Parts: sequence; structure tokens; C-alpha cells
Amino acid sequence: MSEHHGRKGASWLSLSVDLVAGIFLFLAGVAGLIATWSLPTGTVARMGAGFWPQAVSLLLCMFGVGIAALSFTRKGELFELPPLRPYAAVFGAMVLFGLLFERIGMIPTVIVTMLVAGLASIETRWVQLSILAVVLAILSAVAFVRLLGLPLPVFWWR
Amino acid sequence: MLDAFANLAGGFAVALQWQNLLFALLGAMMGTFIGVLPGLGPLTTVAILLPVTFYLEPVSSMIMLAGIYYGAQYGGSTTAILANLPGEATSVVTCIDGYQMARQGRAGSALAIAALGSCFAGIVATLVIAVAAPPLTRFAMLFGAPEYFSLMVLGLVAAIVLAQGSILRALAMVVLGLLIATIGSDPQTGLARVTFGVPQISDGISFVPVAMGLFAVPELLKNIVWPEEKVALDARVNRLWPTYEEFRLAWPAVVRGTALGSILGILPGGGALLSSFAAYAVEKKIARDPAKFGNGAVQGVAAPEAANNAGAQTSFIPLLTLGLPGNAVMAVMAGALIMKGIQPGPNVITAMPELFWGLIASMVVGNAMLLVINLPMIGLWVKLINVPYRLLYPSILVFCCLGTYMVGNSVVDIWMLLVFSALGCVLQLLKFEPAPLALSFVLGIMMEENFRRALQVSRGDFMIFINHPISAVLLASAVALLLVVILPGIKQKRKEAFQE
Amino acid sequence: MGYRSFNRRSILQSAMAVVLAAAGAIHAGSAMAQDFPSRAVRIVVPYQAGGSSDLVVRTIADPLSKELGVPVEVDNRPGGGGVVGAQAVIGSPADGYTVFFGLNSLAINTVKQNPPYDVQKDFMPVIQIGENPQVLYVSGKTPASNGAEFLAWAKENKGKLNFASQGVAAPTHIAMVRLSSGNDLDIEPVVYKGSADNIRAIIAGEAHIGMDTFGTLKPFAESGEIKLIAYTTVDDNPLYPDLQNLEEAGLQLLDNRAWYGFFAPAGTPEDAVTKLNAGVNKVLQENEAARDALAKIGATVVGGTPEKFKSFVDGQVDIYRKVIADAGLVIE
Repeated sequence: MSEHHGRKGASWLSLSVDLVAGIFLFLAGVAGLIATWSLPTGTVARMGAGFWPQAVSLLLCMFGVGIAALSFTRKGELFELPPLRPYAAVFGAMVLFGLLFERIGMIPTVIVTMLVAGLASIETRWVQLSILAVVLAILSAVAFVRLLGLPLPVFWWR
Repeated sequence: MLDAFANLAGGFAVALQWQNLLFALLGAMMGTFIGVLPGLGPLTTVAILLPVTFYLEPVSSMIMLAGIYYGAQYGGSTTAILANLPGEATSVVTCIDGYQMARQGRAGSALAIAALGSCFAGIVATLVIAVAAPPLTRFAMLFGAPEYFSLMVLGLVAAIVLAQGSILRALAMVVLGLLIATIGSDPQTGLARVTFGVPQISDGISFVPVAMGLFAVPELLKNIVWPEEKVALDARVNRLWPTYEEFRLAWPAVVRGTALGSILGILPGGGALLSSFAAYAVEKKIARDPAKFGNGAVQGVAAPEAANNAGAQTSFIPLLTLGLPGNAVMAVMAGALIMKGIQPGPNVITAMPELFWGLIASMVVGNAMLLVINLPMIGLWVKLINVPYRLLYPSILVFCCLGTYMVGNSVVDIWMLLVFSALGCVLQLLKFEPAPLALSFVLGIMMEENFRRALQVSRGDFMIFINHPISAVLLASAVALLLVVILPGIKQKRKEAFQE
Repeated sequence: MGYRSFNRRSILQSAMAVVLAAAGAIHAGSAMAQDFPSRAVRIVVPYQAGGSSDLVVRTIADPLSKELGVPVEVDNRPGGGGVVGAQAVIGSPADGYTVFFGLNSLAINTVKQNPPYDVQKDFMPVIQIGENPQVLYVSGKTPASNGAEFLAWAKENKGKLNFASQGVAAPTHIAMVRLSSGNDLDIEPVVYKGSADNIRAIIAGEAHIGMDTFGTLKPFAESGEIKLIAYTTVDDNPLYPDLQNLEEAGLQLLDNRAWYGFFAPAGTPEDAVTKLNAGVNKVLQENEAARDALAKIGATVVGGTPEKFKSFVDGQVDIYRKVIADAGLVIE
């Protein structure tokens, strides 16, 4: 499955996908409860701001337990972590976009984002990508700022 | 009836004036191109292009804005099919089967069916407006908070039908969506809930980063990490036009979708959205081989596309007959009219018939134009998705980011995109489906709002949901549908248990 | 196996691409200490494009740019009841190139339990554009056409009536709560998302009483779907000749009106404020389209000096503080 990227994903602990899924849901429900703990719950008749989210969070926990329990009754696939680099590259590109866009403007940000995203794939050809990045950056600036008149920063001084 | 046709003829006289034809064409084109950009849905597009219409006459500017609206509606479907990128909520359903069709080399077919279906639906819906606008408006007035709530409950159950895999997991996704929907301010007191002190999400998280994070980004990564399937696909020849078989299956779906969309689109608020996935759910339930759904069933594209375009047309009705905009896009249109000195109100039809009928006629013309613009473009799109993925995916990613930013001119939306991309990837790895989550997220917000509002109206009396007849019927249908969905699953499990 | 570790060459190539792109763009000249205004002015509107406030601003923006000699852009930053836009302005440099279109919500938000900002500390008023009273209305089917009949009807149906609200922090909500308590009417709020929803609810009968601006209500009043009862100031307003004012209607309610104007972030140089003020005043006096737009929504043009606006806003903050406390409302 992941030969393309070398070592197999870590199948430590031999957890089945269903089990991890159940745990995830349970944790999500707990997170919901924690986040809305401080909100007034009120009663069924006069619901406070917290009633609905808390009820839903509880429900989610129950689903988590249910799915996790079911995972023991049948043989499911094992959970594997995917290789890190593509995820890091794509998420890194998005983070950079968020940090840079308002600071250095559209054209440099687009270029940087595309190049960092390029790190995700081993098939990236850097010259091609760089050219595409510059072209797209300029086209976007022309289309959004010039033609549509949106108040977006194009460089860091405008 | 005769009256309507006479008026319609007059409307065509207005719509076919050369300048109005030009504006309809321009509007549809601009709407399509901008709507194709991920994140820029109909609302943002109309708002951006609003200043362009300042210098036009009222009728012309409405024609242009309307063109932009349904053009953008169609553009959102294009990215849904080509890259699993839903432009707005109504395109989520198109992703499910449309993108699968694209992966099978049938992108051209999917785009064509979407275009043809939308055109048909748009024209039929327009005629519906012409003939039945006032009674439909009165029908819409019957829907108050309890009715909306029950409708949303029914919608949620329909969202479960959308899922391919285990019902249990789909239900879990629906519940998770409801939880995420609570982020924002409490609908009654305005108290900020779980906003982590970030005011930009105090009105709730905007749909665009959620959609992109749940659908587009995981798909992008999946194609990078596991490219084997992609390699096989690239080798396939991309068909530009549907086969006879596809047409045969699609056209009844289009008709059904149109009917659903026309009716639900009138309901201010979520009507148009509901119609697209109600249409999908209906198709899946009555199909002869439901297993195809989720794997490129053409009805799964035809019906929702027809439904959401029909809904887009009929959502004009509250604005034209009552003067009350039914959704945010209509509100912008209302603003445009006010700028021209026309108060949208109950009198518009009688006071300015050339506006009403001219607009209606131009909708017919505009939908036809969409076809003219989009069908030849299919060849272009198909070429575009055959660009080597190593160049395509960074471009898609960048456009996602740009589109997300432009929703509110704020990087907070980019952080939302990150959070939901992470969530989307986790869900993908855990084999959950994102569609029920996305839909319940959108519905959940409206559900809670209407639930609390209904209780405000009844001053705490829960019976209001049953005392109102429409609401009671909707709730009963929801329960019935739920049973229909769950029981076969249980029966199946018991069968399996017996066999062992 | 695994990723071909990308070599130095490709890193260099990417780096060069970025540098080239950046260097290729020649620095156009930053805003040094030149006379204000020397580049585009941005007006931040805390509402969605196309809304009625947005439209008022846009009718002013165009002629204003001719007055100032630089482009004037409108930047819509909706969200959070105006908070998102306000914070965008507070965070921007106080050089006069960013202006905020502020309304009553600026004052109301300042007196919340957890205020997101303080209009008196974080903003400098530039000029008041206009103001208009609110109008009390009911469904067309209600057996009441003026203040006296309204009170009679409301008292008869005490405990059964709802009012359509736009949220706890909305000025009309606060006013309605006062109306209810001041006249002993026991009306409960039902919260909707905006004027259109409110009006629809009242026409459909889900809510019974509402309050909104005249401009918004006019077409519905004309067609009879709703009936206007009174407007919420005590003095006579020539724009509403057919309606009663608060005194005539006999309603116990404080004078309240919607107001709006331009604000700059605190610390903006006086020179910029003066020039902006002069420019807008000129537009308000002379530009037909802008005056028209305001008249259409039933608003009175105000204009005036920054100082006048400042004392007005200070007064509003005090009034809201008192009114909210008196009504026992808790707004977080």
C-alpha cells in the first residue's frame, strides 16, 4: 500500500480501525463536554446555552463506546499511520499561507505556498512548479485585485 | 393562466432586448468563472460583482445579478465533480457521485448531465414561478419555527441515507456535525459558545473551510499518498458526453429533482440545500441498484443538480412576491434594488411588472445560456484535470486557501481550514464518511435555532411541535424514514446471525 | 526506498524562484510622511455587502473619493454583531487610512459584561452621518392603528404576545424590553436573524410586535401587511407626518434612535480626522445621491464636527448603560 513511500505505516499496538474510530468519537464527545462545561445547562423546560451541546457530546461518547465495543466482535482492518511527509507539506503550506498572506501579500504567499506544497509529492519537478507558481500568483493578483477590485494585499507594501 | 402567459410574453420582450441578453450572458459567465473558484460561492460572487451593476438600469441589473447567481451555482458543481471540492453546501451532494464519475473517466459525462439537468430544472422552475408564485408564497408562510425544525429533522435522517457504509458510523457523523454546529453564539442570548475568544467564529464557523477541509484536502492527500488508483485513471480516455444508458437513467432523476427543488426552494433559509440532498436520498431509495450510489451513479449527480438549480430559481419567490429575501443572496439582490430606488415589497409584481416578468423571462434565457457557455467548456475542464497531478494539486491547494480567505477577508478562516483539514484526514483514516457530517453541520445550526425559537414562541411548551399539523406530519415522516433505513440493516444482521 | 531526498539543487531552484519573483516587483514607494490623503482610504463596514448600511456607505464613498482625491474602498467584514469589523479597525495603523462605519452597536458593546472594546477609548469619532428613529409596528390584521389602541390591545392579550427581536444586544430588543416593562405588557422576545425574518414572522403571525427603521418597513406598510404604530422619539419628525411620536402615542419608552457615522482608530492624527470630516460633510451637504439614499431610509442627515459626534456617542454610552441596568438585562 505505501511502498511508494517506503516503510509501512506504524501498525504498533495492532489496533483495529474500528477501535480507534470509537476512541476518537469518545474523545470528541469528552472534548465537547469540557468545552461547554461552564455553560448553564438549565432544565429540559428552560434550556440554557449549554444544554444542547452537552446532550450532543454525551450522545457522541455513547456512539464512541458502541463502535469501539463492536470492533471486538469482528475482524476489521488494522489501523496504520500514513507517512508523515505529504501531510506535513500540505499542512505546512496552509499554515504558511495563513501566516504570510496579510504580511507579505498575495503574490509571494501564493508562490511560497505552492512550493511548500510541492514537497508533498516525490514526483514534483521543481522548475515546472516554480514557473507555474509565479504564473498563478500573478494571474490571481490580476484577477482578484485588478479585475474584481477586492481589497487584498498584493505585496508587502501595498 | 392566460394572464400568466400574456405577461410572460411581455417579459420575453424585455428579456430579449439586446442589452439584457448581453447582461444575462455576462452575468452567467462571470458567475460561472468565479463560482468555479473554490470557496467563492454564489453569495460571495454576487456580493463582489454587485458594484458592477450600479451603473445599470434596475431590470438589467437584476437580470445580471440573477445570471451571476445561477452561474455561480453551476460553477460550484464543476469543482465538486472535478476535484471533490464543494463550492457551497448545495454542492456537497454532487461530490459524492460526481467526483467518483470523474475518477472513472466520466467527468465529461458528469459535467454534461449536471449542465443539462440544471438547465431543465431552471427553466421548469421559472415557469413554476410565473404560474404559481402567489400560492407558493402563501404555502411558504405556513412554515414557522416548529415546521422548520421538523423539516430539518427529516433532512438529517435523509442525510443518513446518503452514507454508503455502516448506518452506525453515519449516525455518529451526524451527531458530530451537530456538535460542531454549536460552535458560535447561542442563538438566543448571543452568548459566545466555545469560540475560544475568537470573534470571527462567534457567528459560527463558515461553511467554506469546513467543506474544503472535509472533502478537498483529504482527497488531495489521498491521491498523493496512494497514487496507484490515479495512475490507472490517467490512462483512461475521458469521455466528453454521457452514454445513452446514462441519459436514460438521468432524465427521470432530473424531473424528480426539479419537483423537489422547486417546492423546497421557496422555504426561506435552508430550502435549497435540503432539496439537493433530499433529491439524492430519494434517488438512492428508489433506484434499482442502490449499490451504485457512491460509486458514480449518474442519478446521484442528475437529481441533486436539478434540485439545487430549481431551488435557486424558486428562492427568488419570497423576494419578488413579498419583498422579503429568503436567503443571503436574495438579501444582496434586495439591496441592489433599493440602491436603484425600488423598494422590494409586495407591490413589485403589480407596480413594476416589467421587472418581475422581465426577470422571469431572462431566467429562462439565462439558463439556456449557461448551457451554451458550459457545454463547450467541458472539453477544457477534462483537459485540465488531466494535467499531471504534481502540478494540479498545489494549484488546487492554493485556490482553496485563497477562496477560504476571501470569505471574510480573514486568516481566521484559514485556521479553520487547517482544523477541518486535520479532522477530514482523521476521518478519512478512520474510514468515516464526511458527507453526513457536512450536512448535519449546516442543518444543525438551523435546527437548534428553530428549536429554541419554537420554544420561545410557545413559551416553553414542547407540544408545539405536535400541535402544528405540518410539523407533526414532518416529524412522523422522519421517524418513518429512520425506521425504513435502520430496519433492513437490523434484518440483515439477524439473517447473518441465523446463518451462523 | 522512500522519498528521493530532495537535493540541494531543487531547494536552490525554489529559493531562486521566490527571490526572483520578489525582486521582480519594484518597490513602488511606501507611504512616507506625505500629506494626508496620499493613497486609498478604506472604510470598514461590519456588515455583509448589499445590506442597507453598506449601501449608505457606498453612496457616500464614491463622491467622497472625488472630494479627497484618492480612491475610497469599502471593505465588508461581517460577523459577531459588528465586533469583527471593529477589531479589524482597532488593529490597523492609526494613520487615517482606515475608517470604521459604526452604529449603535459600538455603544452597546462597550457596556456589555465582557466588552470586546471600548468605543470611548479605542475609537475617535470622525463625523455622524445620520440618524433615524425606530418605528413600532404590528401585523396588518391587528385591531390597532395608533398608540392608544395598541396599548388597549396589548393589555387585553397580556401574556400571549411576542415581539420579534434581532438578538439580545440589538438596540431594538433593548427598547422593546423597556416598552414591555414600562407599560406593563409582558411581551416575550422571539429571536430571529434580521429585519427580513422579523417582518416575515409578524406577517405570518408567529410574532406580534416589532420595531425597525422606517425605510425597511415602508413597502409593507403601504401594502397593508403591517401597520405602523408610532416612532420612537418624542419630538416631531417631518419625515413621518402620518405617524404619532412617543408622546402622542402615550407610550412609556425612552427616546431611542438608530445612528451611524465614521470612526477612526484612537490616536489618528488630527489632520487626517479634520480632512475626512470636511470631505464627508461636503458630500452630505451637496451630493444628491447620498442625500437621496439617506432620505429613502427615513434618515435625517446630521454631519457636524468630530467633537459634536464625540459628545453624542459619550451620551449614548451612558444612556445604554443606564437603560440596560434598569431593565435588568444581562448582555455578555
